[in-house]
Amino acid sequence: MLNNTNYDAIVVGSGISGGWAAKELTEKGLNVLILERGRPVEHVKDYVTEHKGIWDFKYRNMPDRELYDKEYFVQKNNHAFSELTRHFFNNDLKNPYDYNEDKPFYWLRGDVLGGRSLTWGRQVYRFSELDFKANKQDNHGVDWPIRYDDIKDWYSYVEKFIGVSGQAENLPQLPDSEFLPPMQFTKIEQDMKNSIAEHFDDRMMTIGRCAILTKPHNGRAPCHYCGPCHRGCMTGSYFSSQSSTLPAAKKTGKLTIRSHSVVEKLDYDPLTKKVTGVQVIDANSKEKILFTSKLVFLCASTVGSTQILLHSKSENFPNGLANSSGVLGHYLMDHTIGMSAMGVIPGSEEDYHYGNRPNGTYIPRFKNLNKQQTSFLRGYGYQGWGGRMDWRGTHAAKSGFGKDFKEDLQQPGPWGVGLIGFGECLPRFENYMKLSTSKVDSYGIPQVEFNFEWSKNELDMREDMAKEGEAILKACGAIDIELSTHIHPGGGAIHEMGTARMGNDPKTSVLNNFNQCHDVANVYVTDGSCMTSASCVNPSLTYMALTARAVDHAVKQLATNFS
Amino acid sequence: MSRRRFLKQAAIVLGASISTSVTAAVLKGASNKVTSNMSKLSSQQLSALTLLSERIIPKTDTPGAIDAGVPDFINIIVSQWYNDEERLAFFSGLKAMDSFCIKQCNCPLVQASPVQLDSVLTEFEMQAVKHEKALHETTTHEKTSPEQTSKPIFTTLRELVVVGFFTSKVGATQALVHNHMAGKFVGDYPLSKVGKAWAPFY
Repeated sequence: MLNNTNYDAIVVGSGISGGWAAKELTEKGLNVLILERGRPVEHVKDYVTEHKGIWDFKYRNMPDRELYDKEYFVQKNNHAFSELTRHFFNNDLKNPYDYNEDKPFYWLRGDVLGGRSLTWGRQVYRFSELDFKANKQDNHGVDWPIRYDDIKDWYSYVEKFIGVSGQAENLPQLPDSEFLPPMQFTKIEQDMKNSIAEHFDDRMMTIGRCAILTKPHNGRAPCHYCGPCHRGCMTGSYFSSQSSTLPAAKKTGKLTIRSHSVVEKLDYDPLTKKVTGVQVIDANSKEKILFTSKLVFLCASTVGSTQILLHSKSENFPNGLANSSGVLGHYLMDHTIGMSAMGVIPGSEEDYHYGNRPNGTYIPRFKNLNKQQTSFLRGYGYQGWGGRMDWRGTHAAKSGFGKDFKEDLQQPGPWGVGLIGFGECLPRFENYMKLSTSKVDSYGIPQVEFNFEWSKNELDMREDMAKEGEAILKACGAIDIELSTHIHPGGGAIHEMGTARMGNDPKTSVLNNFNQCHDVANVYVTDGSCMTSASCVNPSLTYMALTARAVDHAVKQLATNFS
Repeated sequence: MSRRRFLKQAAIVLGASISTSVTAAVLKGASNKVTSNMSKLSSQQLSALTLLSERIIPKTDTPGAIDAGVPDFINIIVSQWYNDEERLAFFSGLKAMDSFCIKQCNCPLVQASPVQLDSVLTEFEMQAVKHEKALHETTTHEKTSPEQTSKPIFTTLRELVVVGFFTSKVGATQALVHNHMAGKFVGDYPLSKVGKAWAPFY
């Protein structure tokens, strides 16, 4: 066990939250060490598939089925996972968890510097007052220790840095961000927006709000509309740790990044009631190294951070560090996803679009806003699209072969439209992750196992999502509508959260209103594990805002030695 | 007209659940057990496939299946990507086409004229339509798609040709318009200015 340089702060993880923590801490003058379990990925240089033609791949974009079944049996369920992006993802064989095929929970994880910030969906929406009040209002989970007013300036702060494209709509349930110009609707999406406004007084459609630049911003170039962001972006036009936060942190000269560093546990000193160091196993040499610091930010992802805390047992914390409440690992949430309505809108055959827009449309939540209208609690939103189909979606329906068949496929197909529901999930004690008592990984660290089921509330919401989706598409003139009430297993929306929740009461929560552990003053957790409820909007923007806010608090606390 | 439901594309947003077919796999792969039994096509089979694929997507004012290397693509998929069951189904389908050709035209596929090849393809398309109809009458509204292995050979073959063609460099950049460094996004743009479909991104 080596002792290593003493850092002011250690950040575990380099994804969306970790990158933000490192940027903020270094800019406030602290010497920071990032510990990343995965391999390094260098901006531009390591985007090895960017702009490559699909013909450059042996099976084009088809999965290498044998390999995936053996080594990526979980990751293959990620919508962004394919041969074009596989190098950014975790190898399920090399880094296993206790995956139960009969009762699956998908832990979809990156295994590189930058984490899932490289492959995320880039959709950014603010939580609203409604979201922060939800638990208190219907008495599920515990009350958030913060309200919208506590975080709104931090939302603005991070949005101004990352660059968010979107359209202000002045909706109470979906507060506006600091917007760069919105991306354009396609012709049919504009028609849909108009039809929805005409037929419904309770709902509307806006363009997706995304962390993609529509004009030059903070030294980064705007989107060049090549399409597949998840391969990486040489112009840094979408927000990733590589394009945004890590360069800012590096610029201070106070950042050290150590990749291939698997955090095993945190060392706790009962005398000072603080964490004194972070125990690391080098992924290549398997050597154990201790890094010491005055402050630790856990940003290893929801499951990753909670796993570290659960494994950091001591006499004082026999059930995991900062777990005097016993709720660590519990209240695991994800968004429901899979419910959809799709159809075809006839006509507009002379209209097309130009360029590859890496963004869709959004219908914000419209159920149970001011009063309880349904048998289920809370609500859902839709991400959608309206674009002309191409050969992939049309060839199977055509008859014949030969010249006419070919030339038909060389033309765009009809306008396909779709809505995919994202439903809020209630926080429940029964949904939890824990450490296996029998299985360890290659580092000797206990594997994670999940116990997760959708509750009646999530299941009851499905019918409504499909029914309202159909009503919306019909109002827009769609035909050939297909509905799905299929629901992905937990983890499938890649919005897992809630396992080290924030709360006012140390007896029922792990973190306080500044993401600081109630039990251990110099440990902050600012990734998805901190979430007290899930809302139905994509959560990453909230992680960023909470991280920046937590750093501001932590640095002030550090000055007074957490007294 | 539409014999089969459109596969809807969640091109921009998220992978919607679609059928387990080669197209679906290109869109976003589902997978099942593959045994790595490399079993390359014989030169006879490859020749037959070369002729058939060029009839399905012929050279016009743009390159055709042969120009796009479709036969090699099919060879890779059938010998390396298919599992045993899929491969067997494919070979027996191809054999059935060859037998039909011998019966109907007095020669195997490799010696058949374009007109004869077309007559074989037409026959097998008819069989595929019948199969489709029968399937449609027996299945409930449960959205399951027939497994690759139970697909008629015409359906399988045509899909392989289409996918192989439009995902090739020649197909994507010459038969379609490849605009991957567009530089801008215009939501309402006249088709007349493009003339053809854009090649999709992945």
